[in-house]
Amino acid sequence: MKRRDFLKLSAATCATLAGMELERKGLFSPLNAEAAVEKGLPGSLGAKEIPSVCEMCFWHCPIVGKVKNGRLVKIEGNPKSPTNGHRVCARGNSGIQLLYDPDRTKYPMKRVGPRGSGQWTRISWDEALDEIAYNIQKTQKKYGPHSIALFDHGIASEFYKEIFKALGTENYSNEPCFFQCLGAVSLAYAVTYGYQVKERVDFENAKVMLFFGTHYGENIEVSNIRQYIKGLQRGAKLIVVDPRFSAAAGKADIWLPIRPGTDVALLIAWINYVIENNLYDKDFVETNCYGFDKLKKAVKGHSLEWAAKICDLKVKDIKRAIDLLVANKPHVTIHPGRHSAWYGKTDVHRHRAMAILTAIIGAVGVKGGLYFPTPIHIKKKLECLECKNKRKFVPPETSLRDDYPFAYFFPGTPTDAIIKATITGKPYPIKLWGVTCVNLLQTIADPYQTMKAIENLDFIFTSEILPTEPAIWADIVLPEANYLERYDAVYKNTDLYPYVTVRQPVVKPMFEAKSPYWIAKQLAKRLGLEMFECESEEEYLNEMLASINLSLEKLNKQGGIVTFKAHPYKDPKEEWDLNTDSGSIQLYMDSFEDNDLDPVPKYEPIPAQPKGYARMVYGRSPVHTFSRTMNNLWLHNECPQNMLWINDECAKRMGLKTGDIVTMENQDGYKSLPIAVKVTPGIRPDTVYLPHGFGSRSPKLTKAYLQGASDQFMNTYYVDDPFFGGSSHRTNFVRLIKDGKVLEFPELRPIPPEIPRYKIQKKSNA
Amino acid sequence: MSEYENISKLLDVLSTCFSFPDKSFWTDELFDIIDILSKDFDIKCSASPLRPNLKELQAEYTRLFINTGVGKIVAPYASVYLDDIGLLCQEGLDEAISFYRKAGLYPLPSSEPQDHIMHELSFLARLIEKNNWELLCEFLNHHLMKWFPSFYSRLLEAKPICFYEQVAKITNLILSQAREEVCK
Amino acid sequence: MGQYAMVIDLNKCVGCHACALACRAEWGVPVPYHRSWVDRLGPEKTPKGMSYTFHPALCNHCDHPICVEACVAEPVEKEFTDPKTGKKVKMMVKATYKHPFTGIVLVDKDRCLGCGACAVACPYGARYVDKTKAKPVVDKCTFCFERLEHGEEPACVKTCIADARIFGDITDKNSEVYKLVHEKGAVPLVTKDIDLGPNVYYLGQEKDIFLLKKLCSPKKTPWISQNLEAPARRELLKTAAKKLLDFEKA
Repeated sequence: MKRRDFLKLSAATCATLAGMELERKGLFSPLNAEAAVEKGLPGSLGAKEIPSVCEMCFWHCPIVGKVKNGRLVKIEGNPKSPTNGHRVCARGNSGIQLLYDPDRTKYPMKRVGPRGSGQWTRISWDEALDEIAYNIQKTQKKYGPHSIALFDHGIASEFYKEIFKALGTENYSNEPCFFQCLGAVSLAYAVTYGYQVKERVDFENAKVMLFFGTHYGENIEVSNIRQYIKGLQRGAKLIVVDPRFSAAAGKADIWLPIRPGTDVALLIAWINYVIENNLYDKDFVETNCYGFDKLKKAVKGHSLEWAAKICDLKVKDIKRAIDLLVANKPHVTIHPGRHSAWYGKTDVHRHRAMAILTAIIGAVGVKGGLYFPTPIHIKKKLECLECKNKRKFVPPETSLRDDYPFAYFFPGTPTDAIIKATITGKPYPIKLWGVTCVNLLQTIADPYQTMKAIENLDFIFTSEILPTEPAIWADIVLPEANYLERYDAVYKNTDLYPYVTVRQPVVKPMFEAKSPYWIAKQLAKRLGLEMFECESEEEYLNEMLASINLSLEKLNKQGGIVTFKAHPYKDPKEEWDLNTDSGSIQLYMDSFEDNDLDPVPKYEPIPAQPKGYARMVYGRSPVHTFSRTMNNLWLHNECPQNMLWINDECAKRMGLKTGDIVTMENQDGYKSLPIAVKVTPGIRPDTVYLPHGFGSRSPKLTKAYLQGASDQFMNTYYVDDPFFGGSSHRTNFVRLIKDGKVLEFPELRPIPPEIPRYKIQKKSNA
Repeated sequence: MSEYENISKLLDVLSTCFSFPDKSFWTDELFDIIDILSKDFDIKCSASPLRPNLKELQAEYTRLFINTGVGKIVAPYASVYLDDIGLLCQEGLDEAISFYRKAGLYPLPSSEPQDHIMHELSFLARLIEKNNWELLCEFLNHHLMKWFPSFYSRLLEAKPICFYEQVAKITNLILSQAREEVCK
Repeated sequence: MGQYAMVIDLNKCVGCHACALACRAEWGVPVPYHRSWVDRLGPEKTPKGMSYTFHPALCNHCDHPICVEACVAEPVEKEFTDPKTGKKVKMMVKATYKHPFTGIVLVDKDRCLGCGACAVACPYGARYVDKTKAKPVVDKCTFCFERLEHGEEPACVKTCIADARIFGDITDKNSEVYKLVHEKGAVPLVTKDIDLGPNVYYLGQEKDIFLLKKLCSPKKTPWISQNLEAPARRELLKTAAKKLLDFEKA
């Protein structure tokens, strides 16, 4: 091959080139040592295995990352994990595509266009952090200590939370995961049983399982699903109460297609039936329950016939279900539920009723029933993390919690209150938001209101692993290292198969992504806060692990995870001393009564659909997590868009078939993105259903953008939960638009006079 | 400079133009040389020829190469275009590194994956300096030119400002001519 | 001679798609293709009740693989070793063949012409031509042959969160797959017209098996009318087509 002068450059150009002094003369150095290139074994075999913890959803399964030649090639479960072993779900397997997504956040960025335009320029970490610190200080100085708010979620946000707390704002943590998701069930079960029950039910040993909306199979929690399937394999019967024939209904013995909004009626009738017919566990109630007589009085007269009418179910089916449950007491699992932000008004009552039914049949602390966590004490308050000069907390004259007597139960303040205060300036102005690990627009009710609030802010910053909707609206975007690139907390599982493990980086962070601890440490320094003095994450992790005689090194020698023996059950004959108001299981809540709230679950009708509309409900996809995964190449390929489930009888009358593209229009006149219809007999005629998290509004998520329709963007009418200020998500109604024509839903199920219809009010479109 | 040393220097210039325009090394000289080269090669801009200030240039670089957004992304990495569709750090990166090794070179630590166009252009410059035309042609034919045309067409589709349009077109010209005239 | 087989227990399967993703991750299967996939079925009414179930699918490694017959590459001699006994055997194989000792249907990518005849012939849609590669060749599930050689189970079996995939040698009367097929009634997806002896079986509630058979039974493929260049290829295909027609009742 002859080299030739293949480019004719003018003399002037050559002279200019010769004169140029390039600062950077080349990006290479001579290769010294021959670094061994791993060869050989096929697929993922022979890869280096690094134990860590998954974060593709909140279930945090222990995993191993398999690395070959510095590249992550596979993720599997940690074989030593007693809950999932070497197994991970579809999301867990796909973590690799989060790491290598070319759309991921890479560098700190500053907004250069209007908020919501997603126009950024790359800046340095110093500039980004300086700007955030400056704005935090400026805002608090101008508007007061409570004028800054943090919207956060999950383990990665712990450090940011501590910063906002140290700065003296009452809004140091708004976890939409409480106020927009599991607040109702958390509160209901905690006040009844005195501990965070979460989903601690013993599926494996249950003789009967009862699900209210739980849809395992579309909702994936690996360890719980393994136990649920084991329970079914052992002959457990399954009762599913759901307006939709879910994946769980597919395995059920009894499916109760309940009218949405009426679950409390069913539960109260069941409780009454159990009490009236002396089917409850008298001994257990006497020994360990408080308020039985008051409960009995309150539920009296609520017959199965009454419930059947309200719930649009057959009496014989309701009776068959409760008879099955009590015939197998106490070894029955009534799944507490998780996402409970349904109607705003009776959500707490629904989960209280479930907790109460569980208690009166004695399905607590026994095999197959609700169980207790096994305490594992790991030191959390560390010297090197604590803030030595935190601001004195001066409560505001009017707190954002004041309207909600049980908001104190959760850290920080209700989402809705923060957003409204940001818009109105009442009871005090909020002018700065920090957003970490939560997609505000797809998570919080009425995203149009959220966008309006953001426009009113002086400053907003987000910490992101992907350029999601909040990033599009942010003034500064910080690139956070994702779970495969960082340390996080010590994870402890205190359920039936307890263990302790740690999230460790599987690969080095790419680009300039940084771990939350590093970011928080830098920010705290600039804010003049003496905190996060641990040099590194390893330092504080080792200190935490020392409280159980471990270190990172010792833990890794054992495969990254250590197990403990569970003590989940209690003797029902013994008098338990629970952390409740009375020390017993609270069937009756005096503290609710003291706050003008019903002390025993009471049925209050949830308004039904206006004529021509159907209620919109949503749920999970097994290959997606909320709105996080739609841009993941593999998961996007598995399910790029959601579909809208419509009852086949309705579809026939509306002239719809599976695959037809429609737009939803809600009661306030807001329209959704186009969505394909799925016609099925497996859903009530008054209800439509779609998987949550689609319809991304971020053009920077090149695969997810505008794919499918967003349920949250249809959630423009929400009701506040009077207990703690959560927002409802299932109080919206839709009709459909196809080819420009409005299609109304036929009314195929009668609505009893006890249930009023929702009255449509005029509301301006966005 | 000898004839081919010019080309090596030119490739280093282009490599620099494809890296984030940081104030620590960016000079007006880079704008000047790109202007002169555009005149040499008769390259005209479809966008306005106004010279941006550094901040505008940084914003444009962010828009094009860091988080492009919808429409086809213009991520400047071999991996994104080769083999598996649209991901970082895949076989494209492995391929690039194996070429670097063959030349006895190792990429300096960088926040960017090392199959970035700036690395690959710099690599070409080093090969010319070492007179390693055989490896240069192998690299062009079996790696860079398998992905550069896709990257190039997407870059133009994204309607870059004149400066980046010129840089792209000059790079395309050089790589195509090298392939045609030296490597056939 | 052994025959690896898989039983998928739909009583346990929850439709999580972990199997499809683990396979993709293990073998770098490029989007939009798949070696292993999951069809979601229903909810739909059946004579046995409302069914909402799943069809986790992969190559069936049939007893009579029609894909092997459809292959147009020249046969060459190849030697195989029984991993269990060390016994050797020589066979004439084209670019795709059924492994004599494991029953696994494999593709020799070095010899594959990428014509796609086998992919079109498969009534389950289990094969694909990988057009993302510089030299497009066919790819498919290999029952993780390479992993088996190292004493590892298939990736999909390993990841299944509900332990719904059971894998083993169906010629071994003590294996779990044998028992599930011969004692518990696990069924393959066949029709009266198309029965290639698939080695993937399904167990489940009556209503779910009904829906599975209704929606996922093998389809007659149009491969007979596939337009290919060489006359010789068409001749070969006609011969194979005749064999397929033998399956059809008049």
